[in-house]
Amino acid sequence: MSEPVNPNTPQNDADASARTEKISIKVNDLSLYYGDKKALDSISMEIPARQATAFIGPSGCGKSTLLRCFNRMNDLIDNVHTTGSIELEGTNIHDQRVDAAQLRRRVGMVFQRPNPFPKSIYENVAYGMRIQESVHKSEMDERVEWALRSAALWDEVKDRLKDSALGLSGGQQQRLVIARAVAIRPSVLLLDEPASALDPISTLKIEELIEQLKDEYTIVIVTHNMQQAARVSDHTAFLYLGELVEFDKTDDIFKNPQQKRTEDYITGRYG
Amino acid sequence: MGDSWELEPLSKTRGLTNRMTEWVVGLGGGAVILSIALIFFYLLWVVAPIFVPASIDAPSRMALTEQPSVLVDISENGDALFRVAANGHLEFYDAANGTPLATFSIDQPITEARRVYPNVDLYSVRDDNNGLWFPQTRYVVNFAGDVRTLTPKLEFPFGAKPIPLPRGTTVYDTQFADGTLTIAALHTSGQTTGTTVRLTQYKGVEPGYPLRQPKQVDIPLARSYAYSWLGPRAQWLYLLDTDGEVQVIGTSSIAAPQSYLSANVLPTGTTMTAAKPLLGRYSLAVADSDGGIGQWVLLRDDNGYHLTGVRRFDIDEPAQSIIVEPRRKGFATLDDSGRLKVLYPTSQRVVAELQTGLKPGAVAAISPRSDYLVAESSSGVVDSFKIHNEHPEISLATLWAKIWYEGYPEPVYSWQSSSADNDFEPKFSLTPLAFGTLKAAFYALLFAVPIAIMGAIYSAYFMAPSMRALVKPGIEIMAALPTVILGFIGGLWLAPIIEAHLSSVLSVFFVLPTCLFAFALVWWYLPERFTKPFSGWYGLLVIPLILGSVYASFSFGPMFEDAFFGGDSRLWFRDVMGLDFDQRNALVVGLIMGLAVIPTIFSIAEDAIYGVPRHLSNGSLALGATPWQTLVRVVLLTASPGIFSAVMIGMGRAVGETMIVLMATGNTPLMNFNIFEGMRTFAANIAVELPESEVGSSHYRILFLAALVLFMITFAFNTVAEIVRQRLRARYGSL
Repeated sequence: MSEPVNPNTPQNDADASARTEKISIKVNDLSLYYGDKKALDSISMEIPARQATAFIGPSGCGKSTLLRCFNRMNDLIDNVHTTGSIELEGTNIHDQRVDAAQLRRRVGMVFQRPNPFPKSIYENVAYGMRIQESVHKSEMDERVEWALRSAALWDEVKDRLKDSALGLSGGQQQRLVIARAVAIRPSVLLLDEPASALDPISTLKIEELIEQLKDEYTIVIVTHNMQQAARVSDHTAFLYLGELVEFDKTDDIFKNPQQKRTEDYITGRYG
Repeated sequence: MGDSWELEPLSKTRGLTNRMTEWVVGLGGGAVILSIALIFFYLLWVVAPIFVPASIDAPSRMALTEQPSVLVDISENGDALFRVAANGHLEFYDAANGTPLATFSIDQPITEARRVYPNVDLYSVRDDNNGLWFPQTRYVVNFAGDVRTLTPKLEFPFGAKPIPLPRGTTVYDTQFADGTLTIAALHTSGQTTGTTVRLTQYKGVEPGYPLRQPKQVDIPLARSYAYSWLGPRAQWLYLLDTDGEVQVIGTSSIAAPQSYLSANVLPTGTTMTAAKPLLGRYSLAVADSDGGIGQWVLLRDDNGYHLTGVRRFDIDEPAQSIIVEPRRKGFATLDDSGRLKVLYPTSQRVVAELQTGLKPGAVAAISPRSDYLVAESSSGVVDSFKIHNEHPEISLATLWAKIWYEGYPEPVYSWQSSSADNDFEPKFSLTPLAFGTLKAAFYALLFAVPIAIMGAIYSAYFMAPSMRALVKPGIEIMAALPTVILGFIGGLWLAPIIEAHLSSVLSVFFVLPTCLFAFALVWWYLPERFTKPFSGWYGLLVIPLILGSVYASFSFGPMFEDAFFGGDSRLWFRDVMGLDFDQRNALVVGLIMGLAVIPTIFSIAEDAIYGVPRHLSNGSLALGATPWQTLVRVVLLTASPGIFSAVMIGMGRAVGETMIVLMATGNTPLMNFNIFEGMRTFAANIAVELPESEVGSSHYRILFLAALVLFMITFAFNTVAEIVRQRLRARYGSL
């Protein structure tokens, strides 16, 4: 198991190196059990703020499970318990005072399958705001527009905001779901294989969107598509059978992996 | 074959199976639709005659012996004509062709003759010596050699000698019912001014035996009258003059007659052209020169008796004579131009009319079955009119609007289809039944919908899967409980308990929710180590809590009663709230029928909620929504088509439910929403009355109409439910 990489390595992009100084999520010796079965094994890592971090690994390696630890979605599953700690911007998310709902407001999540609510496009984006706070109508309109623009969807839907979100195409739905998550201004966006159910063009759009969003948000993306990880992420973690095998800058992982298992996986020898 | 390939046909068995399946499925679906359509058309076919307008056929004319008639009548079957001729001959004719069948004679000239109310075969015949004869007709039917021969008989059940009327008798009326023969005769004998009415009453009369000594009384009157009629069971006597003045004299005790009232029944400025008492003799039909006919009913209230005008027909031409139906409250009128109109009071309409050559005042009668009208058109010539008028009492208004029935102080909605009396006015308003149906369904749903839907939410969303696996089928099995048992429990066990412990039962509705909320609050603050073991199973803890609250309610009920209801809750509700209490009431029905529809609503709603995809609720939770927010704003919204259809199917079941309402409602057709009184529903009404209704009668057809309305109500509910569900599903459900 590799040591977590210090993300403070020099980069050719000056902006990027400035961003990397801050740690968004700090995972410390995290293990997770489904009943007696250990699904994550002593994972420690530091996810840098305002960058894209990709989790790769074969199916069942625990990458989604790890992702879902960050907004405590695993709480919803019976019989799960964890040891170790996760800190979001310095606060332990398992602390007694942290309410799961409040945590999830800060840590947005986008799922593999587009899951818009059976409401209008507008109401989908406004949903997160409506449940959190009382937002004035005009401000709500602004925030919805802003969120849809952030998700590069505004131009496509601005004339049919009152239409059902279920009438959108799969790619549009997924961007709508991203807009919905962005609308409540989280600091972290978790993307769980966001493009796996989409066609290549939609996938491309999502990837472009991630590229944009990482200026504003800390992005953690789970993907089984290594090209995608290579394209969108700044750092990449390779998980295997619940262990963090290697975590490094994406370029290093793909061009110069330190671990043999990583190299085998990347070159397609197993997985 | 080479590079090319051929499309092979399906193998024989696969093809056959495929075609067979298509056939069977298609046939099944078609048969379902067809049988529903057939039920609908069968109901419609039975109901349709109600709405066929009545008609009068052109008359068949018979020339009888050359004598003016004082009475013509037709037998029950319409096959024999009976005539009393002015020369004292009582003759029978074949009604089909006018062939004489038999002739009897009194050997005295006859001045007038009419039926003895309320009989249809007994007549009073007045000879020119003021003697009153009582001939009775009888028809003997023989089937010798497959030929039906009719032999008329004439008998004199009160003896072959006439009963003398007082000298100077102007008008008289006779009544023979329950062994009592009563004769009222208006006469002027022994008086210089005014008139006298003489009542003669024979009690314990047995036909064929000599009459006993009568009781007799002479009542002097201040003025003269043109008509005199005995009221029902000779309880009172109407005296009516052509200027509209009426006097009613109570004659229940013949020894001590008392004046009930005097009144005038004519609109000002009109004169009376004709008047007759209608069947039952509770009301008089009075025709005036304005072309109106008023129906006046004798009503009694705390201030004594009143003659009340309940309705007025407007028939354009003044009716010059009124001919009443002997077994219904309808009547026919003749005006100066010979126009014959058949009217019916309850439905207040002219049901049929025909231009005839009859003169006003012609001797005429309507047959016992109201299907013939026979009248003398000129001396010795009788016209027989066939009348097709099976259901005159039914109109849209009598079915759905308020009707002023005889004996009621005001128009009402009423369902009362039968009574012990033959002269009773049937009340066929469907409104109280529709009302009762909706009332029962409303209270059942009021109880069932919150419990079923909240139960469904809890079971689908919060319950541990292992507990759900037990609870859901358990509740669904409840649906298999025969409703007759539920009705039995409701009517015989629950209803008396509620009656005896009303305040305790009512306090349950306060104590139970309070306890539940209190318990939930305590549970919230309990440390997790106490609550954790019950995770997903804490629903079980509610069971002892519910039992405890019910027990507590029953323990504290009497105190509750003393504190709030002044010691007797039923009395308090009646006196303070103005709510009457019946033992079998809407509360019992609400609880028991609610219990019957809970499994239906629960099961469908639970499926709908459980079927909401996890990724939707996860999506909401991931946006920082609490589980409760997620439930209300996403899960219930998405499940709303299913929940809606659950409620609608429950509604359909409650509307059509029969056994529970039959046994637990008391079946009183009331028109109020009081939870402590019962109701009568369409379904229960049909179950109660159809077995005892005469096939083809108005009552029978109206019960079918009730079935048709019930059918259409449930059809409408289900259709609306399906349309709304489809729309909701298009909006919320396509996931």
